[in-house]
Amino acid sequence: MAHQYQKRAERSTELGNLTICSFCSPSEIMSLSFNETFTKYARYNPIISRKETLSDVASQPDTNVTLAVTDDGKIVGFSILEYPKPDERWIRVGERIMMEVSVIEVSRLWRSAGIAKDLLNFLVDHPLKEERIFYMVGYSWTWDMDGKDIMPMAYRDMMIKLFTPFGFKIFQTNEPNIMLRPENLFMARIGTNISEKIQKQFKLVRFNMDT
Amino acid sequence: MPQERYPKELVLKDHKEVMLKPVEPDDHKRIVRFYQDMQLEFRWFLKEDPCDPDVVRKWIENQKSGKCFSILACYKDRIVGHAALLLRLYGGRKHVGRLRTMVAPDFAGKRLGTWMVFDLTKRAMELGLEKIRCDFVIGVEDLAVKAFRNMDFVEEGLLKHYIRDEKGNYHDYQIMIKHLHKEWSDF
Repeated sequence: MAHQYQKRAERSTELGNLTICSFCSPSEIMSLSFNETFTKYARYNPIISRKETLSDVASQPDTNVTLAVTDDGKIVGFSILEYPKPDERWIRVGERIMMEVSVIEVSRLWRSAGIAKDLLNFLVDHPLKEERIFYMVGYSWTWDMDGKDIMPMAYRDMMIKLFTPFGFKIFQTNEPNIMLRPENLFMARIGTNISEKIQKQFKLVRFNMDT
Repeated sequence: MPQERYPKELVLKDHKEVMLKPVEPDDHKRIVRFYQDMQLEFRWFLKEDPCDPDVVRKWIENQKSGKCFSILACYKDRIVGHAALLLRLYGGRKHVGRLRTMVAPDFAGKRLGTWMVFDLTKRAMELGLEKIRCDFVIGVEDLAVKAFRNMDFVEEGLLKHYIRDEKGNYHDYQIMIKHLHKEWSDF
């Protein structure tokens, strides 16, 4: 049975028609096939290369797995909005406050058709979006720069342009992994119902000043 | 445009909240006051007198003409830090930016300088620079040398007994460079 907040949209591209579908269930994911282009390249390993992993994530509470699927049932793009892992600093903002756009990926063959924007649009169209702080971290070592043939700062700009229309803003943080490289990026969207107290806590956690 | 991403909010080690923003013409008086409030020993090693309003006016003109990109750190209404990325628009040094950072003494040791250097490093990468350079007076700015080493700056050259402090004592002058890698290696 489809999730009560599930949305679907048809999308035509030069390579064929796609369906963008949010809140995909584990059974829906398992019924689809993973496109062969989500395989390893010399300088790039996709974060997720098995549909079982996507299915496991989709079974978690409040999680939104949004897919781009061809008419013959191949997954050519996927994105995940989920709670952070227990060992991540963002847990300290408060219980079930922060949700991470942990993955947004489009198969190399299907890039430059605006699919990432469609995925993100459905991903953040979440019933709890005004009660949560959505965030993303951009680590340059996970970016497929060969696939786009661009430099890290240009890829960073591309990420900023992708997320900004959805209310995400750049925030400074001293999170060590983000600080490792100047082009790394941290963006967040603060829901309108997030209290001043939580916003203050979010600020302190960003700079590890909450303890 | 990079200006669109400012102001940037920071929380320092002592929980003080500071904003980073690019220098604008309206900041002229406040910048002069920032340096006038500083004791001579802290501003002695700058190449021009920052207490001279004409010097600061020239710096602001340089920002407009693209010869430099400078930022201010503001705590409430007060300027507590000023950092600049100085650029060459012509010739064999076009690929190198030079950093100049100044932090109010009561805001030293709170990582404000580190944040300003990080910010200008990003700007240098956006501009496609290959290296950034910063120079230090040994025996006076040793803590800064250590901090810059932690930010992947490396000592590239030492000029012996090159610079004199305000009392006339000679000091070694350390040149440090950070290489800005445009991509990851294949290793």
